[in-house]
Amino acid sequence: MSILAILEQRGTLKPCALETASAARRVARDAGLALDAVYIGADPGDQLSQLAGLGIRRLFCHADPALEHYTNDRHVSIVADLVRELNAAVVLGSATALGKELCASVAARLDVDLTQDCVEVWWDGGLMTRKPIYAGKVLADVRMTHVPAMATLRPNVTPVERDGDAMPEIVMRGAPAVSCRTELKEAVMTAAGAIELTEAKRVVSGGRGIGGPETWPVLQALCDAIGAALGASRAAVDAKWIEPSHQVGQTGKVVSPDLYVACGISGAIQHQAGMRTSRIVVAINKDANAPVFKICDYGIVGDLFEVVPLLTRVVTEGPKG
Amino acid sequence: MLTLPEKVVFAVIVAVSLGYFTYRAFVLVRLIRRAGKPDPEDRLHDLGARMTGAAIDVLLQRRTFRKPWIGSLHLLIVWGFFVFAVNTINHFAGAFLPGFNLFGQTFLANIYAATADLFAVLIIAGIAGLAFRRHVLRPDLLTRPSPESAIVFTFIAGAMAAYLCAKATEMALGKLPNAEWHFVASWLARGFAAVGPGPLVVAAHVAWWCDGLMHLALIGLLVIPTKHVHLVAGPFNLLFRRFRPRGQMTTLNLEDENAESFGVSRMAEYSWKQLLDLYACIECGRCQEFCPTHVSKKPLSPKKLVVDLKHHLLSNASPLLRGDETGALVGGPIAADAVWACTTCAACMEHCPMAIEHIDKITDMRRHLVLMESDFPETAATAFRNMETAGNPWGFARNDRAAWADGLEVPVMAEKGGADVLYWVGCSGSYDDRCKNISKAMVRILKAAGVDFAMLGEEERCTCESARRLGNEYLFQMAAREIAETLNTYAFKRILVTCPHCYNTFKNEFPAFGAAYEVVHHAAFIQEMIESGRLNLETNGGPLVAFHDSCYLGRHNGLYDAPRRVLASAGQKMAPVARDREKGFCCGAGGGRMWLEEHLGEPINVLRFNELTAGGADCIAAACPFCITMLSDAAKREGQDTEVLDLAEIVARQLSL
Repeated sequence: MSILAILEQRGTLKPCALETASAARRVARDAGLALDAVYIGADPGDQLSQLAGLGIRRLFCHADPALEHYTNDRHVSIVADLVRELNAAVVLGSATALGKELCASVAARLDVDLTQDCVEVWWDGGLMTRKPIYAGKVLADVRMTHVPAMATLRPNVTPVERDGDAMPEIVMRGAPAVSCRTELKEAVMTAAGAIELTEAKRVVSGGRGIGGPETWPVLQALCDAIGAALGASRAAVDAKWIEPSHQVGQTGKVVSPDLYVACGISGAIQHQAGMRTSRIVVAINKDANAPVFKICDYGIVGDLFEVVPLLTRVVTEGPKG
Repeated sequence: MLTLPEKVVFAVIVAVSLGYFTYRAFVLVRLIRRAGKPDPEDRLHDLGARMTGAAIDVLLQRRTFRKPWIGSLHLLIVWGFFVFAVNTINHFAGAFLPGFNLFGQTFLANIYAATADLFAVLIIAGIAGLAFRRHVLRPDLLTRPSPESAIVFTFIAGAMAAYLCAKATEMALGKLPNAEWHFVASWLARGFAAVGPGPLVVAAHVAWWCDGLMHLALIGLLVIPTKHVHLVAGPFNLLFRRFRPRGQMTTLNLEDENAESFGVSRMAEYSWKQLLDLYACIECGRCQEFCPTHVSKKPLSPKKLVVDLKHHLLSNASPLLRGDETGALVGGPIAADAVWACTTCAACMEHCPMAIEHIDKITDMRRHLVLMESDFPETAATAFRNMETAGNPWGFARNDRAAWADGLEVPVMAEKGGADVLYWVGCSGSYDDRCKNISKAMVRILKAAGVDFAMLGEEERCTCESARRLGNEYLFQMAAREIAETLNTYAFKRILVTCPHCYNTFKNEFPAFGAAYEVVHHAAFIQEMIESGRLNLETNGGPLVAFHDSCYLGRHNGLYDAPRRVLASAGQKMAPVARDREKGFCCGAGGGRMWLEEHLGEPINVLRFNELTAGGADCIAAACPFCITMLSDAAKREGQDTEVLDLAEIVARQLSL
């Protein structure tokens, strides 16, 4: 028996793979079992050095060009066979779009229990998982009563812990001989570095008041400084200053970030409909009568060309004076 | 005149042709009877009025006369058609009974001879005028090149020329009894007389045959069919025209357990009247002249829609007659973008000489897409969800609905129980910062006029008019029932609205859901208050004002004068507007387009804004929150500071204190 961690990769190992391994190691230690891991992808090259000190006994490295991209048929077959082979007591994956699908499919294939999107896992005579329910208002502790038990772990909640620099024993394996019902022809990536508007915790938006598309870099600098996504009002999109995919409003995206910074946006009803559930709204506008000041938490009446760079500087360099 | 072999050949040709034509006519009639479903409206009630109306439209060409020159030319051809119907009988019977005349040898026959000659010339003149328009003036309305028109033009003019030549040669041979009455043919006869007796006999036979065959061809063009079929289908389409209000959509019975489908996805789901519309189309293009989507270069033209549907109907005649399923319309002959582009402004229906009902064809397709396929623009989903859960399109909280009236002491029905006037504020007036000013102005006016009024406050909700026009009949009916239930608990005499969309819904659509109340739009209400002396306005003038006709006030409900009289009473100087009243141009927000993005073609609101300000206006007046939003946006987009105001705001500004 052992504990199996699924190490997710997208060309390179994802940070959540290391988090999953760290969480799995604690479970393994408390359960008194060894930790094994599985990597599925193209030739990992020297990336596996990242696994040093994570306490993995054996890494089953399924490296093949055919495995570069995720296909349900191949990945499920690899993991399910490995779980049977190792007689794994616990299987941990990452609660990413890929990980959630893979683990759900494996659980179905093996007819075992799975808890998705956990924020913590531990061992207490069996696998224990903790997951938020009711939109995060309640944390549920779920005891998994059967083995093998499966869980996926939410990214960014588990610290990566290393102990020494021992490397796992690497067991090289190839692609399974299964027929694939789907074939991935090409993966088209959206612009690198862009943060998805609807998922962003912070959004900086520009409207007609920014004057023209040449102003976006000013707003983008603030976005980069605070890790925000760039939004736009309908007016800016209508003027063809930016792609419609950035539009926030009734006929664009509906966002509810923790922080919404509206720059040069008058705050017409159609815009309000897309951002009124934001937690904190900061409005920057030259026109003190703009309706946006009625709905904001903090309003700055001023020229955004002065205010926004100032904000960016304060964030990056810290307040002075 | 004819030799025996000629008579035999002619008899065979006529018999075969008429047999075939009868068969084709039968197929065309059977196609709409078999493929068309029952129409939701009783198309025969009030038959007297229907017949009178159709007769006036056909004989006096009332509808084509909206363009007086075209109407005149067309009138010549229509009257000529009746004149020549008689001639066709004379000509065909004359093949076998030489000298046959329906009027015998009476004086009437002489009058007829002169009339026919006159109309032969007038028809040629009419055709020449229309051909000149199509090929030289080339208006955008007309399709070019149009082989069908060329064929129809050629055969009509050809038939007239052949008639005159036949009469002239007959006369030159001395065989025409009332020769002196054929004043045109007799003039031609002098020319024919010069060719000598031998060639003259040949010419007479050739002209006779041309005359006969051209007439036969004209009958054939009716049933093949070409667009020539409009001269039979048109009068019937006018007879069966819509009597229900233009702004009233049909009500779907959503509880019908036997219904397998709602709306229209395939040709056989249209009613027979919708199909008759297709035959009646003459492709004159008047429907697209004021159509906002066509003018702004979007993929919808009402003319193209009807013509494409007509071709689809005719090319699928066999499977439709067999009762087999035909292909889907949307994604087939009709582009999805065209279906969603319509603003339901009714410019097409207003100007169609054949009373074709374009909007229903489009909204029926939307109904199917929404109710059966759940296939509609993503942004409509947001509006639908908000209307359903929050009772307004933006998703604001229900209990904030009356917040605009804080401090204004506006009576609420729940506290008052009843009032003379129920003031229906509407979603824009309740939540949109811009339109809250209209509500506040209206309250000032109501108080100044001493009106006993109250609003519903938090009990009000969206009428879902735009959802209905986007095809979401389910959502609309739910809202209609809920509103009827609320209204029925209070006592009031009439409902006052500041939104033409709410107005149309209360006036034309809610009565079917148990809310039959008198409703008045604020334009008419303010006019009434002014004219009864309850409101006194300063008439010190102000900026030059261009009035924008809202489609659901004007074309849908005929309220053109009230807003203009209100502006006049308020001392406003009016700027000229190129397209107004019946020819008014939509702001782009009707038909639920308010909730959709406008990605294709030019922005309609900008086109309209520039048109309104072209006459030098400093201020645009409208009487609809959607129009005001669209035109204000356009002003900002064009970088203009032109004021866009509601009638109520202008009136409130002019209130004498």
